[in-house]
Amino acid sequence: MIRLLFFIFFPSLILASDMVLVKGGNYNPIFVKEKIVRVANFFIDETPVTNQEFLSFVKKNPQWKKSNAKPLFVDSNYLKHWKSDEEVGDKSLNKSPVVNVSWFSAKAYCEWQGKQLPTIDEWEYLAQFGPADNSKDVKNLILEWYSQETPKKLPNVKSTFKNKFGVWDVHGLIWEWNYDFNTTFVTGESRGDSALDKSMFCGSGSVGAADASDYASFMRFGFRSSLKGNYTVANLGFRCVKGEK
Amino acid sequence: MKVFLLCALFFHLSLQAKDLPGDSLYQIESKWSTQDGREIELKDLQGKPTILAMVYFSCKYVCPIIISSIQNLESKLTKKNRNQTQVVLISFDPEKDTPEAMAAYALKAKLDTKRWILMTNKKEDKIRELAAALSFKYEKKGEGDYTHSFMIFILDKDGVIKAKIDSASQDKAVLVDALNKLSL
Repeated sequence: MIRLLFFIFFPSLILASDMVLVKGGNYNPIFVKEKIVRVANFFIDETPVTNQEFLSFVKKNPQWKKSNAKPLFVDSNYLKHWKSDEEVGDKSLNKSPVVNVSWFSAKAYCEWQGKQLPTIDEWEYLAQFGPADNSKDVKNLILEWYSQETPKKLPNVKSTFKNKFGVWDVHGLIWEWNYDFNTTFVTGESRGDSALDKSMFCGSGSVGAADASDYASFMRFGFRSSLKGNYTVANLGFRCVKGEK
Repeated sequence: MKVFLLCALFFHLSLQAKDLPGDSLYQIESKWSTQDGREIELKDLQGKPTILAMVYFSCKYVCPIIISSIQNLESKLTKKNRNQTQVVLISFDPEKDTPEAMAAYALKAKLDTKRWILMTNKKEDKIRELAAALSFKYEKKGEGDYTHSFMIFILDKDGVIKAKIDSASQDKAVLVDALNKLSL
C-alpha cells in the first residue's frame, strides 16, 4: 500500500534507474596540491540515463521535446540521433546512454525524478575506482578508452565494468555532466587563475598539480571547462544522484 | 470599461511573456529577492535595455572594479540613453547578500536604485542556471570568498545578450556601442 501511494505521488520515480549507495571518503583534486576533499555518502544511478528513460521524460515534459526546447537551454544538435520528438527510432539504441543532451536538460531530468546531477567532487571521488574485480588499473583503462574513437552506435549501459559500489560504466562508455561544471578553472578568470589553468593543462605547469601522471583527470577537467550549459555532444550524457538523507 | 482595460492589460502581459525569444535569459523561470525586499522573476526585467553583471557584495577586489566599470560605461551614455537603461547586479552569495545587505551596499556605493537592481536567489541552483546561460563561472573558496569570472553583459529589452566583455582589460566601447544601438 505504501509503495502504491508512493508511486501515485511520485510517478516519475517508477521509471527511475536503480540507485546504489556510494560510501563517501576523501579524494585529492588533481588541480590543487595538498588539498583533501571529503565527500559524504550519496546514492547514484547504477547506470547512465538511457535513451528510453530520457524519452519517458520528454513525453511527460513536452517543453523538452526537440522541437520545443529553447535555444537558451539546448543547442541545435540536441537529441540529433533521435528520429523525431517522441521516437528514438533505432530500437537498438533504447538501452544505450542518452547523449546529445545539454546541462539544462540533464538537470531538468534529474529534478523531475527528485534527484540532482552529481557534483564534480562526487564524480571525481567515484572516478578513482576501477573494476570491482581489479581486473584492470583504472588509469590505464581510462587512457585506453580516451584513445579510441567514439563508436557511431553507443553500446548498451552495463557493457563496461562495475566498480566496488555497484556503479556501472563510470569510464569506458560516455562522458557525464556535473552539476557544477561551470566553476572556475579556465584562463581569463577574475582572480588571475590563468596560473591554475597552466597547472592543469601545460606539461611544465602540471608539476604544480597533485598527480602529474593523472592525465585522465586533466582531460576531464579540461573538457568540463570547455562546455557551455546549452552544449550537446555526441559522447556526453549523464546520470543523477541523491543525498543519503 | 475598467474590466475591458484590465483584460487588455492581462492580455498584453501574457503576450509579452509568451513572446520572449528562445535565447532570452528571461526564459529561466526563477524568483529573485531585490535590495528593496521585492520578489521578482527574470521576465519582470523585460522592457528595458539592461547592463547585467554577476558579483557578490562582500567582495573586496574584483566586484568593485566591475561596478566602477559599469559606472564608467554609464558616464559615456547620453542622459536620455542612461535614463532608459537598467543595471542588474546579481549576487551569487545569497547567504551574505540579504536584501538588507544589498540595500546597505547600494546606499554606500551611491547607486541610483531607481535604475540599479541588486538581487539574489536563495536557491543556489537557480543562480547556477543563470551563470550557465551566461557562461559565467564561479566557485566558493572557503569562508565567504569566491573565485569568479569578470563579465559585463548588455541585454536588449527582451533579455537577449547583445554584447559582453569577459576581462577587466577589454575595451568597454563594444558595450557603449551596443547600448547606443539599443536606444535607437
